[in-house]
Formats: sequence, C-alpha cells, structure tokens
Amino acid sequence: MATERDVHRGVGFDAYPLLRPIRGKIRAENLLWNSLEHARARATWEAPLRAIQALVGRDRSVWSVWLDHESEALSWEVRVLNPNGHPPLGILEPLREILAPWVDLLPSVRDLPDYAMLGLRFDAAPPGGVGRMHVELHRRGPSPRVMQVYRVEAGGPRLAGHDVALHPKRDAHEVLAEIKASRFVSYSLDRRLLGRTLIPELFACRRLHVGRRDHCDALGFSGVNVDQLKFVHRRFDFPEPMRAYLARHRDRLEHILFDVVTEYVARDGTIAHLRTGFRSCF
Amino acid sequence: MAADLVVMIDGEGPMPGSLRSPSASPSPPSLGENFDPRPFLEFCTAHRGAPRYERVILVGDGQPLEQHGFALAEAARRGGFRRVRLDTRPWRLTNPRQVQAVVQAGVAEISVGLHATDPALHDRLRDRPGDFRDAKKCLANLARLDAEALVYIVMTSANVGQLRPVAQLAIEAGARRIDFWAYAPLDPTESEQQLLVPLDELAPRLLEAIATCRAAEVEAVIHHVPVCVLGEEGARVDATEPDHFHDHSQFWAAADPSARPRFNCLREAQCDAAEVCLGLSHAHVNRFGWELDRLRALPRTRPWRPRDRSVRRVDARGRAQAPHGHARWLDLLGAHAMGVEGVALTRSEARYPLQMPDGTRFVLVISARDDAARTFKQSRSFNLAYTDVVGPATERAIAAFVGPVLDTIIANDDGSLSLDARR
Ligand code: SF4
Repeated sequence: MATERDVHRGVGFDAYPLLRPIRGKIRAENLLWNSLEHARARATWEAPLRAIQALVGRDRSVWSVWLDHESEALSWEVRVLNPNGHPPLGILEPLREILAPWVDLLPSVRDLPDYAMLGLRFDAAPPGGVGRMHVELHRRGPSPRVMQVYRVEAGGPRLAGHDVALHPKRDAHEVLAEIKASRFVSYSLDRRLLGRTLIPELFACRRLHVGRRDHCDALGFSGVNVDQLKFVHRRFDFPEPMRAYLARHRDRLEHILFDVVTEYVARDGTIAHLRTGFRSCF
Repeated sequence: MAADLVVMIDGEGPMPGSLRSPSASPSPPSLGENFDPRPFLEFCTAHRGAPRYERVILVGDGQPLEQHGFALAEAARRGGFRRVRLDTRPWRLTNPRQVQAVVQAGVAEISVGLHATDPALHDRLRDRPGDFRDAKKCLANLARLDAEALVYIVMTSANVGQLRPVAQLAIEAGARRIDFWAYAPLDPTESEQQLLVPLDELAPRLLEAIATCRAAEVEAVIHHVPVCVLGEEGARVDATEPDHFHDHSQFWAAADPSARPRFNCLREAQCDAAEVCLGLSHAHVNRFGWELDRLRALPRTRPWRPRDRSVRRVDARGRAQAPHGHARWLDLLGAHAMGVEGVALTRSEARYPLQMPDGTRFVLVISARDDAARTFKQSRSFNLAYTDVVGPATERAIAAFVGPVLDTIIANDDGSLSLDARR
C-alpha cells in the first residue's frame, strides 16, 4: 500500500508531486513485481532488488521495465544515485558487496570516473540459471541538461549515448532541433515521421529526454499519468497480463507520475520502435 | 463556467462534431438500464430559482427521447434556461406536425448535420441510408416554424471538396448558424483515419465556405481547426466545451474525459492564441505529423505558463510545504483541501474535482467574480459553482456537501488571488 511517506521520483531522481490523495492507493513497485512475475523472474530478482532498496533507502532507486519489440522479451533496470565521497568506485562498491550472494558485479573493475547515477540492467535468467547484471554509468555534461550514458564492461566504461532533458513546450525549438539531429531518422524526407516519434498522446508530460544511443535514437517522456501509461501498454503491445493488471489497478495508481522511454530507428520509410520501457521508483 | 448544459438522454443521439452516435462506437458509453427523468426535472426546479446556464442541449434519438423528450423540454423551458436545443437524428423531424409539437414544447433550436450535397456521400458518412433526404425535410419543416436550424458540417477527406456548396445548401435551406467541425475521431480505425484532412487541403476550402456564410450573413463557427491557419477568420474558432448533466441512472460515461478527443500543438508556448486554440487532434498528428510547416505561432503578448494539475501539499521529504503557486489555490479551501483530488488552473478558472462519501463526483469551479453572470455563490473575487456531477447524490445532497466548502472559500478569499474574466 502507498503511504504518506512515499516520494515519487522520475529518471533524474527529482521528486514528482502527488496527483491524488494517497488514501487507498498502492505503490508503483507493484507494477515491477507484476512484470517479474509475468516473466517468471520474481524468484530470481526479488531478493537482490530488496537488498538494493535496503542499501539506498526506500524511494531512492528507480526501476524500469523494458519490452523488446523483436524478441518480445522483458528486461529490467534499476538505477541508483551515486552519493559523493565514495571513490574510487562510488556506489558500485557497496552494491558489489550486498549483491555478492547473487551476482558478480564487474569484479575486475578497480576504479571508475566520477558519475551521477549507476544503472543495473538485467533480464529474466533462464530457469535454474544464474542472473547477470550489466552496469551503466550516467555522467553529467557537457551542459547541466545533458546526461552521458556509459556502458561498463571488464575493460572499463565506454560511451554509449547521451540524453538531453528539455521541457516539451517551453523548449519546443530545442526539442525539435535535438530530435531532428538524428543519425537514424531523416525527418526531412517525410514530415509525418515526427508524429511517430514525438507521440502526441505522450507529449503532455513534464520533461522530454531526447537521447542518442550507438544503435538507435531514444525519447523519454517523463511525468506521464496512469492513463498515458495505459496507452503505452496498449500502443506498444505489452503482454496482456501486464495490461490487465494495470487496468485493474488504474484507480489505485492515479496518484503517480511515471516515465516512459521509447527507442527507435527508421526502417522501410517509417519508424520502427525497438524497445519501450516505463519507470517509477521504489 | 460554460453557458451551455448538455443532457444526454440516450446513446443514440448525434454528438456535436461527430458523424456517428456514441452507441455506434466500438466501446459505447454505458447507459442506465431504465432512463429516469426525475434527476433532471429536479435540477430544472432548482435551476429556475438560481439559473446558471443559458442553454440546455437535449441529445437523444432512442426510446427514452420518445417517452420523455417533451416533458424534459417543457421542464427546461420553465427551468430558467433561456434557450432549449434538441440534437437528434433528422428522421424524427420529417413530419411537420411532429416538428410543430417539438417547438411548442419549448425547443427553440434544432441541430441538423449536413455533410455533403451529394445524398449518397452524406448517407455514407452518416452510415444511414436516407439521412440526407430526412435532413432536408427536417430543414424545410423548421423553415416554416419559429425555430432556428443550426446546421453542422463534419469536414472529412470525402467532403472537403464540397464545403462551399454544402454551406450554400444549408443557407438556402434556412440555416441560422453553421458549425464547421474538423473530423477528430477518438482511437480511429484504419478507414476512419482515411477521413482525416491535412491542413493545407482543409484551410483554403473552409475559408471559401466561410466567405459564403459571410456573404449570406449567416453565423459561422469553427471547431477543432488551428486558429493560425485561418487568418482573420481564426476569430471564429470556438474551443469551449459545454458542461454535461450527469446522473448515475443516465448517460454518465459521457463525462469521462478520456472519451473525448485530445489535442496538442508544439508551438503552444510560443503562441498567443494557445488559450483559445486546441491545436491538432492526436489522430491528426498520428496521420499527418505535427504540421510544423503550416502552423504559425501568433507572437505572445503575455508569458506562457505550463499547466500544472498537481497537488502540492508536501515537499520531496514529505514535509508540509508553505503555500506557493497552486498550493495557494488549495489553501483557499482550508481543511477541505484534503478532500479535493487536485486543482486544475487555467487563466480563467480553478477546477477542483471532489468526491462525496457516497461516491458521487463533481467539479467545483471558481471563476472571476462577475456580478452579471449567474452563479451559485460569490466570494470577494470569485463566482463559485459546481459542475460535471457523476453519481447518485441528489442536487440537495450535493448542495449540503459543498456548502461548507464554499463558505470556507468565501471566508478565505482576501482578494489576493485573481482569475482572468475574459474567457
Ligand atoms: S500555433 Fe498552435 S496554438 Fe497557435 S494558433 Fe497555431 S495551432 Fe493554435
């Protein structure tokens, strides 16, 4: 159940305001557990996720659920802030310790550059198999609106993309310039393509995160309500049990703002969405 | 507050701006098992003592309209509404005696959809053989009586080439006003998407049709078209919405905001017309993109402020916040702020959704004080009213529930908050 102590956060860990009185509502993390159950992965991942929550504190980590549109597989990410004063590995060090019973987190990496957030990506481990977590770092720069994404492997961090956070309406000029400066989509060829990436149903949000990845573009819609999240589940064909769960609990989740992220390229003259994810905190 | 009140009698009537009745949609709104006219009759009695609306619009075409239509129209006429309008299908009004009876019951305006000069096309758009013939008969009947024919045209890719002749036909048939609606379907099917029209095709043809109305001195009103593509005629765009009368025994689902088309414009923050213009429907953007080569923001004369529909009573750490921004509007309600679901603030209104213990929901609306406008109560700076009632509570129960909230607003309104009365 949701409580008055809950804080709702978006991808940048900024707190979202409460949209409805909290009485009778449930916490967003129910959607996370439901997705893990659907993928038969809750048994593998609940304990590590609870350990992370215990380490950083309640409502101080952000989870996301991703659907790969080609393989139709679900995957997940959990993101935590890197509080100051923990060099040389920052939050990775205590995470390594508390997750040691389940996963080895980059045992060969000895130091990392300073970073703002750390993301752990994982998918449903094969039945009886061992779960793996991939590490990403998020570093500010070169301007305060830009967050650079690094993938960390045994050899160290490698730049994998960046996100620019903008207000959808106030910064509309910059939004358009950023979206159109794409390596993957030629907007000048077909003016309709912008309506496919800058999805009108999600445009009314609090922040847009215009992203570049090494293999695609990304667009994050931060601060969307539960009805917009329902739209995303329908529009992007999330598994029926997840859609049904969200529909059933819609009224109990209407106090929360969520984040949605789409990843896409142009293919055969239209936009092909590769992956779609949604986020909240726990 | 809206000047018009829509009363959905059944799901068969034509909704303004749409081609089909709501019951023909893939997910028709829920209707009560047995239509009960009493809540509206009670509302009329209360409204007579303190009129709030100019016009009532009765919408229906089914058995409940047949059974109760006359009683509802008469009650509305006696209930303080200055105008009573009927939105039904034209086949009901092909008999002159029937039309006369409707007018005698107090209906002063009747809407008639006319979508083509070509009967086959009109009937196809309406999905009803014979509808064109019936519409023309209905208009001919109205022309002989003291009732105003309000014609509306839904503009689609199929009829956009004949807008001017359709307007001409409507004028010749005696239309006193013509409403032009850009087609804006909700969750359109593939074939419905094909009916959408890009702005560069729509705007010039619409302007020709408007010129025809202007020459004939017939009022023309435009809906769901961006102001900036219409030049001087942009002033004819009407983006206001009527209030809906609701009761659990009636057509309650029509109040569901998710059952109405949504709009947006990428230039909103730059455009002075944003408060009177909806921009483009989502269906339009999904089909044609954001039309950025067509839309021209009108230079802003006042700064843009993002709309914020949030409740802010606590900060990020859960501590009570000092009132600021929207929180000041919540504080106006004192302890009752805990009972509202939030506040939606626009330049002209603050709207607070409220729920009663029996589940009845309604919206408390605060607008700028206007002594000439009818209102439920007034505070130092505001007119106070409520609308969009959904649920079982009677008018009297709602008044008893909302009374202390309004009294608190009256006590707390020290004149430091204000709303724009221009719209
Ligand atoms: S720029 Fe947008 S808001 Fe302004 S008039 Fe055009 S469509 Fe309307």
